[in-house]
Parts: sequence; structure tokens; C-alpha cells
Amino acid sequence: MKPLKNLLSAMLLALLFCGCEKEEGIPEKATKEQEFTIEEINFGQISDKSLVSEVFQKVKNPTKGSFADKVELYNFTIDSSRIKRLERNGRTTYIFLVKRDSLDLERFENLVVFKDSNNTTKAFLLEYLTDHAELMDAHSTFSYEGNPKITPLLDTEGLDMAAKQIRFCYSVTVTLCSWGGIHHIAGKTCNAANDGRTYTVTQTNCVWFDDGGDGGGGPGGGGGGGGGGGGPDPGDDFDNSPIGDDLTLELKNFVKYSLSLTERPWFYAASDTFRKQIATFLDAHNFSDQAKTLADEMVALNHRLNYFMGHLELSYLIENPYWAEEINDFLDEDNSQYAIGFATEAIKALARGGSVDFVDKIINNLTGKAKCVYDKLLSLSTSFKDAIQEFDGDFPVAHLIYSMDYSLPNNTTAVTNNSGEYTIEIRINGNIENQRTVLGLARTFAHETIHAELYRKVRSVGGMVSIDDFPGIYDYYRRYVKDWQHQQMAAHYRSAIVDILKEMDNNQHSDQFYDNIAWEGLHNTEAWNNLSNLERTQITNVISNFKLTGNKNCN
Amino acid sequence: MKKINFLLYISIIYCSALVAQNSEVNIDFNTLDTQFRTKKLLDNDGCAHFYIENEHFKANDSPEIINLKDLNSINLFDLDKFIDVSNSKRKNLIKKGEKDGVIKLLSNEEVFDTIYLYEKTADSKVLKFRVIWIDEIID
Repeated sequence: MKPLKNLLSAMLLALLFCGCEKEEGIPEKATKEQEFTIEEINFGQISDKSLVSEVFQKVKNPTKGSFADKVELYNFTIDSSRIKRLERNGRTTYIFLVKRDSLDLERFENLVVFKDSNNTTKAFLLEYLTDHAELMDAHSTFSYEGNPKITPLLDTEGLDMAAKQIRFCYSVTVTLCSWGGIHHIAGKTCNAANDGRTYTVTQTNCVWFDDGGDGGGGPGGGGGGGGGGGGPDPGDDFDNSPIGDDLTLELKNFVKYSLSLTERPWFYAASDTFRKQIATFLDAHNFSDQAKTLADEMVALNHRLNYFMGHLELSYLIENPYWAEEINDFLDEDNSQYAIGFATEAIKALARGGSVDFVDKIINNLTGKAKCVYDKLLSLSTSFKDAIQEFDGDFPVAHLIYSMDYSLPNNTTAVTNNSGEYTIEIRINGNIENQRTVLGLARTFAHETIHAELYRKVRSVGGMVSIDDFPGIYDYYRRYVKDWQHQQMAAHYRSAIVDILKEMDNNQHSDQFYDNIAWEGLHNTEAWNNLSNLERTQITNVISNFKLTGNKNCN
Repeated sequence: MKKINFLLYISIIYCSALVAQNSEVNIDFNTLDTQFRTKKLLDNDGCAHFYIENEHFKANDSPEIINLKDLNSINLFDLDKFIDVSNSKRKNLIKKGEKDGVIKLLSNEEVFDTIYLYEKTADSKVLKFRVIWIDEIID
């Protein structure tokens, strides 16, 4: 069976806003009545648990075919902390706030459960549109303009026989309150006042069920009951005192009043996870103005970063809310795709414990000794600082990420990865860092940063390297193809490595020593092969000895 | 991590792929001893990474399961041949570019349009991964 269609009759607007005084605003057709009681209880206070158990048992294990098609409809839980017990004309009705997995700001639902005059258990889902609802903060309740959509959960036997369309009508008596000129669902305050401000309105809500045939006609008009497939059955009458979903209504108000017209679609375009987390964050801070401002920043940032933010990233920003504003400021200054890519990687890194230098645009995910050596390089070597600042030009083509890698084999010191769309990542082998000398690790940083710089240059011309722009790269790629970088580095960049090492090491050794160290990782090159056997042996010995005797403590 | 030895084969579907812009490559892993250092691991996102010597391949999607006999119809190369083929493609572009003094440098991802990597399982099935050749330099 197709999803049911509902026919919401063009009813009287039972809950109009008006400027009436207390009691004077009660509509003509309303029945002034105090012969009902409403209590807000929790699940443990339900006296007739068998009634509720029966409903949940049937709802969770539908036996009828028509139910099987409604798995989605039944896939809900209830808020067990906030239940209403309504006593009227000797009947007890329980009203539950329905909770579903996905966050839906357009509607909320109530489950209404009771036993009718034949002692038959009845259950209905009532769906309220948030656009028609207004929170009444002072009374912990809400006003509602119109009728809810009603779906019977247990008594749909007639539907199995429906050839085309059938209409069910229900007379629903709702307990209301008039206070300060506003009519709303009678809440605790009104009920406790017991001063005549409460009243009931009985409405007839009709629902069309469609089996998928052409049906003809369809919903239209109605409202007074009668006609169609079935007139109002007194047995189908029920009482109701709706429970508003405060969180949904508050969140809807946040979207409506705290976000600009431009920003509102950004909130709806975000993932369900993101929206739920924002809701939780706002709720935890009682929807304070400050929380709303921060949530606004996060909604804007998530949009600017193409809605990539997941649970981890948003959790970090919620715990460190100043970052959302800071990154938005960063993107205000530079909204290029590279800046967006960098900001995306930056939030990922921050959420995973890394640090970000937004000035030099470097993401630092290093830990332990590698981080210590990197920090030393930054503070002591102007050559290294200059090298990484190449990535922070007016027209950056990639940003640098330094990370640890614990999956590399022990004979590998590091990797430079050029596969990121907006980033080049240098990963240091974390498995062997403790066995390495401080100077050896510094050599690795220098060596890999030169790889990154060569990649950056190639990116800057979109991979089309001209002999005029980068004659060195042009020449070495043309001659060596795949291993051009090591060939070029061995021949022309060793001095750059030497400068970095000397500065960080405060010139403790001779230039020759630093040059020997710089050869590590460049042995399979033509420049290396052009050395004499004696030179190669001497260099290899210096490197080997230093690995054994060099300082391994970074502090 | 359990050491896994792979026998690597790479296949070019058609010979013209050596110079063609569109090309497809097939790589076959199994657990026999091999002359190449190999390693397979899963990252935090559940993506499989395959290392063969200094070359790194990454699978973004779940593998397709195929029959072992289907591998027989594929012409398989080893890693050296794979590198030779990729170098040929790069050299071809170098030759073209030298005339104008502008060379197109192909990153690893740009060399082949499609690379499939096959891993044999214990039950004589084969996992067929679509992989990308990561552009990175080891050491």
C-alpha cells in the first residue's frame, strides 16, 4: 500500500493568536471545561503499563501486511522522561513525544494511546508541522494553528479491504488554555491555575487511505465528518493534550531567527550528524545568545568547507569554538580553493591533535622526537624557515603537512606524498624515530622538504614545465624521468641541506661532515656514482659512525 | 603485521596502451614468494594500501570477487615491466614537448587511467581492487 494520504479538513482555526484578555478569548465553539486533569509524568509513573506494552509490542512487531509497508512509520522511540497522562470522562490517555533517528525540523510527532469504550487499545500517531507551531516559553508548551495529521497504528483492519480509497474520521478533543490573549495547548501552568482559563475544543480530523488505485476525487473538503468511506465513529473519538518537541521548535527558531536568509539553506544542506550535533550543542547551552552565535559560525564554516565536517571535526570546534571564528576569518581574507583545501585539512588535523600555523600555512601532525626536531629547525634554521615559507606565496599551489607514519618499513625514513589536491604531505617514519640521531632526523626534514618544493614548482605550472621557467627540473626530468628529483637534489640541493643542518646544529662540525650527512638517501644517483670509490667509502663511513655515536636526544 | 609475500604481475590490455592516453593496467597479487618487497595494509578509513617496492597503490572502494581462472586471460607483467611501461609513456610526452621546450610531467595518477589489482584469497577466489598509483617519493 502506498503511503497514506491525509485529508486535513478546512477546520476552524482553533488556536488563533488574538489580543484578548484572559478568558475572553475562548472561541465560541469551545467548551469551557475543567473536567479533565493533565499530569506530566515519566515512564515509571505510568499506572497501566500493560496498555503501553501492548501498543509497543504491536507497533514493533506488526503482523499485518499493511504494517510491513510501514516499517519506516514505526521506526521510532519515545521520550520516556516526558509523558502526559490526560484524564477526561473516565478515560485515561497517554501522550508520548516520538523520537526518530533523523533530525526533522519540519515536524514532530506524538503517540496517543488509550483504551476505548469497548476496552480496545487504540494508538495514533499525530504529526505536527513546526511551521504552524510557536513555542510558549513561559508555559513550557506551544500554540498550534491547524490540525495535526493523524495515523492510526493499531486499528487499520478496514484498510486491507479498501479497493481504492477510504476515509477515516476521528473526533479529537484537545485541551487548550487561554492566557494573555494567546491560545495554546494547556500546559502545567494552566492546569495548575484551575481558574477557568482551560477549555476543550473537539475537532473532526479525517484521513484518506489510498491503496494505489486511481482513486478519483482524493482529499478535499470535509471537516464535519460523514460522507466518504466512513463517517466518524464515536468509538474513534479520543482526547489529546499534545507534547511539543521543545528541541525541534527551539532549533527551528534558531534557524529562523539566528541564521540569515542566505545561511538557512546551509543548515539544511548539512549532514544529519552535523545538524544533530549543533542541536545538542545549543541545547546543552540552553540556546544562549553566545551559543547561537557560535553555532552560526559553524554553520557558515561547514558550508564554506563543502559540508565535509564530520562528528570528530565538529566536536573539536564545539570544544574549541574560537577556531570556527578564526578559520572563518582566514577564509574571509583568502577564499581560494587552496585556502579552502588548507582549512579543510587544518580542521582535520586539529581534531586529531595536530597543530596549524595559519601564517605560514603549515599543518603539523608531528609528535615526539620528530616534533621536537621540527621545532628546533624552525627556531634555529632560517634556511629551513625560508624553505617552508615558499608554500605561503601570494598564489599558493599547495600547502605543507608534516605527519607521522607508523606503517612504513624500518628501512624507510620518510615519504613525500604529492597526491593531495591542495596539500603535499611529508610523513616521517614513527617506528624508527627513536633510533635516529637528531641531526639525521633534521636531514630527513630538509631532504623531504626539498622534494615538496620540487613538487610545488611543478604544480605551479600545472605540470607543464618550460625550459625557461624551471630549466633544472626540465633538464633532470628529461634525462632521468621517474627519479629526476633525487638526481637533481644530489647534484644541486645538497648545499641547501648542509645550510639547514649547520644552522640547526650551531656549526658543531665541519662543512665536509654536513655534506657527508646530506648524501644520505642520494646514493642511487649519477652524482653519487661520479664520486671516487674512496669518497663514497668515506661518506658511507661518516654516516654509519654518526648513526651509532650521534646525539639521539632532542630537548 | 603478518608478512604477506606477493607475486606481482601487471598486464596491459592492449599493446597500444604503451602510448595511448587511455589505458588500463592489471596487477595480480598472491601470497607466493616474490622478488619484490610488498606490503598490504588498511588505513583508518578502511581503504586498502598496497606497497610494491617503492610504489604505492591505494584502493578507494571495496573489491569485486572474480574467479581465479579469469586471471588466465590477462597478460601479466612484473613491477619492472610496469615501471618500463610508465616510463615509456612519460618519455613519449617528453619527446613531444622538447620540440616546444615545454614538457608535460605526468604524476603517477596521470600515467594510467585505470589500474586493477588482483589479490588471491585462500578459497581460490580473486579480489579485484580498482587502485590509484599514489604520487609519492619514498626516502
